[in-house]
Amino acid sequence: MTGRLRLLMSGMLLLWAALAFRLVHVQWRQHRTFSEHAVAQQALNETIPARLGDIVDRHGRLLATTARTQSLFVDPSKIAEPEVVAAILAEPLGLEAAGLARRIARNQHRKFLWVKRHLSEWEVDRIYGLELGEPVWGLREEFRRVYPQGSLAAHVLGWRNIDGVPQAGLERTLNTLLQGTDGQRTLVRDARGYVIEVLQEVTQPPRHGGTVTLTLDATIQRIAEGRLDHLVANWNPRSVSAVVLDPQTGEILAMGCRPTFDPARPAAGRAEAWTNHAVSSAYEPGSTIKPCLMAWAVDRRLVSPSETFACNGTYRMGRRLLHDHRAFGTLDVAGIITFSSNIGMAQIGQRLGNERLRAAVRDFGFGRRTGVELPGESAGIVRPLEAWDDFSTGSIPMGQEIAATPLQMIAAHAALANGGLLITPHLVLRDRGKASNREPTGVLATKILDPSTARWMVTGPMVEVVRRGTARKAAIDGLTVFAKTGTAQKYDPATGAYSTDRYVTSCLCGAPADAPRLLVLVTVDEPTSKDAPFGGKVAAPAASDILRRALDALRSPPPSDRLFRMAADTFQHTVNADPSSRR
Amino acid sequence: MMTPTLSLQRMPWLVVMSAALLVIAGLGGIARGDEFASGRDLQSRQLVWIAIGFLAMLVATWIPYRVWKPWSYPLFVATLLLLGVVYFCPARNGAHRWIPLGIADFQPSELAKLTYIIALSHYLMHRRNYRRLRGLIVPFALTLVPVLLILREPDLGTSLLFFPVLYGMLFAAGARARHLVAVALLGAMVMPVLWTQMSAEQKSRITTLFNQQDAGPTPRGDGYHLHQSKQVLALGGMWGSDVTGMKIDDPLAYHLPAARTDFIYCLIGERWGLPGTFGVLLLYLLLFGRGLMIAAGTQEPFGRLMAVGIVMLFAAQLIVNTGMTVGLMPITGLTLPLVSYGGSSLLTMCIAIGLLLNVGLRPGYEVTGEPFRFRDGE
Repeated sequence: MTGRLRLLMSGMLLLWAALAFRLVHVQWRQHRTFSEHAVAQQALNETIPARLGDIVDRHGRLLATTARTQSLFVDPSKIAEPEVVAAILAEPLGLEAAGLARRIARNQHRKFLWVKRHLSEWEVDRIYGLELGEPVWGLREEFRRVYPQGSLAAHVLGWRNIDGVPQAGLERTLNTLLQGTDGQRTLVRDARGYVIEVLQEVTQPPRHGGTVTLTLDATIQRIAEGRLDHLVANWNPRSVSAVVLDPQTGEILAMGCRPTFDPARPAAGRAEAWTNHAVSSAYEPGSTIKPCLMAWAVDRRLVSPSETFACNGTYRMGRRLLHDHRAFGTLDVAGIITFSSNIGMAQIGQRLGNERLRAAVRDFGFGRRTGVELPGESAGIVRPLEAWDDFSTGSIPMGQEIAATPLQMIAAHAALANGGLLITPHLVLRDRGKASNREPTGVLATKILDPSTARWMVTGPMVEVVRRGTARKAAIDGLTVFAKTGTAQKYDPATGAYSTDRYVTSCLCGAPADAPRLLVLVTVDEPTSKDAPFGGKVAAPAASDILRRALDALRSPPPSDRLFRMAADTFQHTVNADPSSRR
Repeated sequence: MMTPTLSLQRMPWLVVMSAALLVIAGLGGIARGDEFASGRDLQSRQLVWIAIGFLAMLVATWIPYRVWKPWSYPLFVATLLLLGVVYFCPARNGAHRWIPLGIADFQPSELAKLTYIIALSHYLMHRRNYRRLRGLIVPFALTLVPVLLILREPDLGTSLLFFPVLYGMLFAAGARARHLVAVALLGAMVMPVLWTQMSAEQKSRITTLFNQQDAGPTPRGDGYHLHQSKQVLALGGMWGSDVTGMKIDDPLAYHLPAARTDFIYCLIGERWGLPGTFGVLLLYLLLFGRGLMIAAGTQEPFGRLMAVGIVMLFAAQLIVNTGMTVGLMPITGLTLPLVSYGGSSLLTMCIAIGLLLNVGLRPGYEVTGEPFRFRDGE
């Protein structure tokens, strides 16, 4: 070989040596690290789901909880004859064999298919009794959301889909408090998917969700909802809602609506039933707003309580002629509220002027969300000042041209009842002074009235409303009840005018007047009746009935409540009993 | 002066044996790849290509190589035209490398390697002007034409193969070492310019080389291929899975794109461990050494240069291919000669082996003395 070719050879030998070194490094020295890593890669992290927390009422009664259930799945890719497997599985699960077979056949390319989720215990027993031979099926433990009180407080609680994803209500807004953190377990599987080794029994334990205590009182909730059912039966309204509020704290003791739904099976009813009208629907409040605006005017010393106004049945106001349903003659401020005189209120409106009227409306929290812990809250409608005209000066004081949710209205009245504080109405119980219950939002209290003015309005004119005014049906023996009713004609978009036969009637009442413990607001949307369904007739009896029984319930010792113990027992029974044994 | 009859005693059996064993090793690797891929059976297809390649090798051995001498330039030009045709063929994975021919696709850049070696041998055989710096212009220009065409396909790996072949042949032909070093330095200075011309993908292949980590979590994206390549090699361990058995049953751990073609070396390493990879290296070393001895023993300058060119081609492709599997070279679509699955590659390399044997069988008896012997200053 010539010298140059020999040089080429030696150069190549050098490169060969470099390669050889590298090969030794990768194939021998790194064998272990790569293998370990590949094993880790193959290791499967299995999620240990965290249990969703409970929702309980203020006395610890379960409103929503979580149960462990088994769900059945199959591996369609391993099923050669879908008809055979479907025939075996369908009977004990109460499924249709042909449909199941089709479903398996359609998903034959997949490795996982739910057959039936959230099985009952007897269904699980029967599945274990089946002889399916091949490992084509499996049971997976799942959590199922359970509402032990049935549809009680369904609109407040909301609901979750079958995968536990919150869809509405407190389930949705409090999900971060309820859901906890999933844990993880590391497993090693072989190529066929069998677990060959559990690397660590529990790599990371799950942190289960916390319990949330609500301000609701299940007893009062049940009283309110029972009354709502009664209203539906008698008046067949479009919808109806009731709110019971502690005016001193802003705690909501009950909130309910009709139509309602079963949160365990929300799809069973109509989707309209999911709406929580107490926070999501805004109505023209009508006369119910009058005490608020009057108190504001008196508080700002624009009107004196002793002043009188002429209310003679008709009143010319610019291009507008106002009517009262009868001529009251001369009324003082209390009289205007007692008899709910539109003419009197219009004169108050003229005294204030649009700018101050709007300030009053805003002070009481209208036109913005209350901040309650519910999704989908409406802010109501308060139009910008530029949109107000001389019509507004007369309309706003009688509760037209603005829209408010029932919750806004009761929160505004709570400011009258508690001595002038506008407090955020809320559903999650705050442990006063302690931070044990994690609080989703702050509860604000804003002073909007002088205590003396507020007390005067509640103990004076609003008591008179019950004694000799529009809400005589709200009277309760042995209690000084204060109240205000309202009947708002609904605006008809078809005619562009107020409808003559469609109303929203409402009644707000509270007791006792000298130290109010509870406020109740009942709102009935489009009650049907032959004669005019004024608030005093439709809503007042219902509101005062709720008020009376709720006050009773507050007095009686709460927790060892037989009613709820029975309800819980019934629930346990339905979960554990095997209906086949009853055959 | 040339013996009219072929003497089988002259047959360089070592080359034949090495080539045959490499092909067999390749079949073993492809079989392994078929197991992992559980898809197309490439092993039996490769057997067909081996049969075709063997015939091509016989033909390349039989026809005296000097016949090609007058055809060398026309063949080269024809190949260059084919490299032009490639642009008008449909792209695959964004690259115009193949001319579809129905049953199989033809890769002109493979053919270009051979015709280039023949043409350059022809050009260099009776000259001595490349002893001067200016004389290097034509050989380099001759190289740049196919290089640029292939670079545009784009196929960086194949195009860069031409330079070691050129250098090997120039060096063997007696070009001055200091000229070659100077040109190489010049080339190194042009590298930054070349860098700016590279596509983002080509750049990332080079940067992953410097960012690679041993073991650790599987990188996503650009580093994935190299990581898997090393992982498959490492999982075989020192003795290979044929001896120790497979430790892991997860097909994802063995997932390696282009395993049976460009990354066949990994499969051989996985199956037969260090003995396998070292064995392949040794076979190439024997092939290279015996090939250089054929060159040294050939008085006829055309044949001698051709032999040098062919062994340089083998060596360069081996270094780049095995280097990329272990993270010493950027990943390029370059096959391991005679071992990788693939028709064009196998056929070309069989013809190359055939030409090498051809030269070995016909050393020539020119009385001109040892070619390319220059005294300094000449």
